[in-house]
Amino acid sequence: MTMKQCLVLTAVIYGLAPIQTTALTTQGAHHQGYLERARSVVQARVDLVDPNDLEKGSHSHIAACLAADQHLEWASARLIRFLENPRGDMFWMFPMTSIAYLGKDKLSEEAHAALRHAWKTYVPLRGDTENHWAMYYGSLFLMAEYWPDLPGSEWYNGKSSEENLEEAREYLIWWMDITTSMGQGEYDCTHYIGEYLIPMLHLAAWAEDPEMRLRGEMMVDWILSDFAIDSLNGLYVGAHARTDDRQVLETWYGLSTFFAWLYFGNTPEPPPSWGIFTAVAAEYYHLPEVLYKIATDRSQPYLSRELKRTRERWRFTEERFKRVYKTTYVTEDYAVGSDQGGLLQPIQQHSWDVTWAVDDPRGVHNTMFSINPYWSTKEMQMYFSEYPDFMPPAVTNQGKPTYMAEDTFLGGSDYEQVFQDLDTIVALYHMSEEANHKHIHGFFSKDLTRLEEDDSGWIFAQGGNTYLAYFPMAAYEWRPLENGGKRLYSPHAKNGTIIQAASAAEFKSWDAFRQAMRALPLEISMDAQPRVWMKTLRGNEVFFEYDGIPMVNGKQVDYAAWPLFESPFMEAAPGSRKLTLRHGDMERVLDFDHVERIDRVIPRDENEFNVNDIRP
Amino acid sequence: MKNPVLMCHLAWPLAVVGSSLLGAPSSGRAEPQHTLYLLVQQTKDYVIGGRRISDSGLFRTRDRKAIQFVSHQQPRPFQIGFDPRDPNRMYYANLNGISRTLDGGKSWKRVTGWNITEPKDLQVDPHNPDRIWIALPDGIALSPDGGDTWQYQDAGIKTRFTEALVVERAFPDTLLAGTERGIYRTSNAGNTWSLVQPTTATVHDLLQSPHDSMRYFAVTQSDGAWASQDGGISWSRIADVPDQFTLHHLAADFHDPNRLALCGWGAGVLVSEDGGKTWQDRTAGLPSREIWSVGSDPDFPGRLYASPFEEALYVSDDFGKSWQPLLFEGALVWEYQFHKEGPR
Repeated sequence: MTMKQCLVLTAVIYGLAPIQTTALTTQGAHHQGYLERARSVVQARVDLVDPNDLEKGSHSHIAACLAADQHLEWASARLIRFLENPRGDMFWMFPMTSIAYLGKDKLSEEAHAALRHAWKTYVPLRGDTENHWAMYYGSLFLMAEYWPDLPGSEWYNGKSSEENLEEAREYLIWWMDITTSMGQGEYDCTHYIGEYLIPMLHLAAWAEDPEMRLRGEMMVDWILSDFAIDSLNGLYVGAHARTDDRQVLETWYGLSTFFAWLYFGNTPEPPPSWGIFTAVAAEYYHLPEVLYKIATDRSQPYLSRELKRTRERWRFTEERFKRVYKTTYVTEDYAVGSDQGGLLQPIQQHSWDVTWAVDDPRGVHNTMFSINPYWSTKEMQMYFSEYPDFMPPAVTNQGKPTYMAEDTFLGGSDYEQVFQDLDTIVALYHMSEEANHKHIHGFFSKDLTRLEEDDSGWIFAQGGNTYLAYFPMAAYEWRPLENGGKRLYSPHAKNGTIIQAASAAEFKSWDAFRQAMRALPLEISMDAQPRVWMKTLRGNEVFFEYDGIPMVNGKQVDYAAWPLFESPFMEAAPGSRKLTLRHGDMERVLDFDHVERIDRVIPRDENEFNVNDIRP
Repeated sequence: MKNPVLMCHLAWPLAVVGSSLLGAPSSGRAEPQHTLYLLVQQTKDYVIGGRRISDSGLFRTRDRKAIQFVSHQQPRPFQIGFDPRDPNRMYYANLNGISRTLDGGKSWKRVTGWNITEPKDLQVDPHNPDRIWIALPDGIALSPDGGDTWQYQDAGIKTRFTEALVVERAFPDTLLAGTERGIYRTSNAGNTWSLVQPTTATVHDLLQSPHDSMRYFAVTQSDGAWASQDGGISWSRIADVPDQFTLHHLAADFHDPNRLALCGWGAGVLVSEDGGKTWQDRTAGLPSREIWSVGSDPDFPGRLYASPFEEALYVSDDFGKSWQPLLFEGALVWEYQFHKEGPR
């Protein structure tokens, strides 16, 4: 590659206006669509405001009015009323930050004074998770810039503006460094993605410090592309550090889907939730076309591998962050995604699934997976610093109602180990005597169009244009589910699930698919540990034993060489702090080592990727 | 309660924000010489980001009836420490880090940075009150300059989760630490730590006897209770204390060297009248057996406090034989500290 071949369009952009315009990131239709959707959601929020009613309206309504330049008197008056009793900790900080900046020249003097008073007297908790800290320090950084040169007596924590700015900057850079080196801690969260995206977008929008502003923009690119690569028609697929009871089944219903709708426009609009705080700052971020293409182009199947890390582990290990190995295989009809199983996050982990594409995902349970319902004080104490006994019931009472339930479909398990080869999943379970629930259950959706138990032991199913083969490794029974569908209940300590997915278009008929699956060699054993040897539909020989290292075609999986990102569209090496996004001849490099973002057109002879190379 | 601070200080102005559930608990007795500091959460089931119904954080009471809210709002306080040279200087360990006041609690400044979180314990070094020690989920840190700067000081501790600290009052530079995997000791101000007693679960509290500095006690999550007669160098298991419950806290009677109390989740309140050899259940009269903390009062011989989980602060004037609610109905009292201050 010569310099002539390489067209570097954007490099270090300190001090430029919020929206950069380059040949690669022109104000294309994708970007215009994003801005229009943002305006529409902001206006919808404004339309809910009664300017004569000071008793109603949340911080999101105030922010929307300020962004839309409407009902400004109401916004000031309502803000003053709202600040009489602050609550919400860091969930209060970022809305107030956006209101401060959006209202810098629009809020009344009294409203500004109320805002200042609140930041002096209300002491928000910093919290105990990375999403808390991203919101806390992202907001603190911006507000310390907003009110520079104030002494500690003017801030809730007694620190001066300068001290707060420095502390916030130090943390944010530390977090960006570790995230771009060994992956995000709360990775691929269907809701908590917002708790990172919002503060990073706010940095991109309003930081005066040009380096922090650019870092904010680059982190928005990073977070959105991390989502995009693991999405199918806007739905977040595969393994998540955190999701929730509803979205784990109805994969459309959640904040991540709002972001897909907002940025990519490839799914029906769900409720915006906190996402309104990205919409109000939409004009400050330019959606790169390469990212848009990665999110929306499913014309060819691809395999994505990613490295992530667990939340900080306080006990039971000397390894503060355990590595998480993610695999996601995506086609236009379905996606299969997983991590390696185990306790990678407390409470809301989701380790693997198959998600099939549907025309309209609203209300649809377009997913299949199995889990061992799990809760323990060990899990609590690994990730929290508290005493053990009160934690599980407290978690249950504090917004995670199914944590201890035997029929939950949410959460990781210390007794689950997972391996994925392309669109084949093998999940093995070995529950100990101490396990609170000694069964596994598989989710069989109400939206499956076929479901047949075969004499071979396979259960054949169809969802959308996807054929599914599910092999339960131990005896089971069916139990109905309240909201439709049923669960495969298997009360055996040694257990396992094998799933093979395929597109209906690959086979002449449903019967041909069943014949193909029956013909696959498959051996299972439960003697010492659950164990599987099989040949997949893609021709690979997979051997996986609980507590062992999986083998494919006789070769052990090399977890030590797992990439930070590896797919046709994203590349990053562990420790590199550098991510390359690529689609067609478009390339964007996010280089956190040098804090620069580089766009270029890839010369044809350099574009080595051929999607057909990985076609099954 | 690790080690009572017995330095004399000036009084603080009392602004009453609450009062006892009882009448005067000690009518006819002399005015207490120590102020009782309590770390309290009044909002039940508080979730980060949620609504704080009532004040939570640091409270104090001189007469054990009228209470004053001292700190900023803080639903998860852990410990309070006092500078024996300056009555207005206090250190407050809470979820956000360490806060310091120089004006007796009127204003606070957070003196730790982003990298210090959830300090579980805090101890001011009585030999050098500029030294502040804190137990952390990821080790032990020391401030050599009254909280201005902090450094980790935990070489030799492998699994670093640390719940409890005691600064030895008889010998300088000597500390004991209760960690996830046992009790560690240093005699060189934390430059190196040695494991003196391994345990199978986290050591939740350490206590140096107020009567004999060589005597130590420890309670653990699931490894029972332990005692040392030689300054924490060697330890033996207290056979009479069960290990099926999570033990939380220890307290020593300030007047009777043979009286001890401990508590825990399901364990209720256990009391020893023979220096820790045998233990009796003294939970009767409390609303549950889930007791978060116990404390003994230096100004009232035989007085014991207990905090059943999210019930109230209970008091007993016969060392646990009978109980009455005293303060903070419905609240959880995380910790008690007594601090001797001058007459009002």
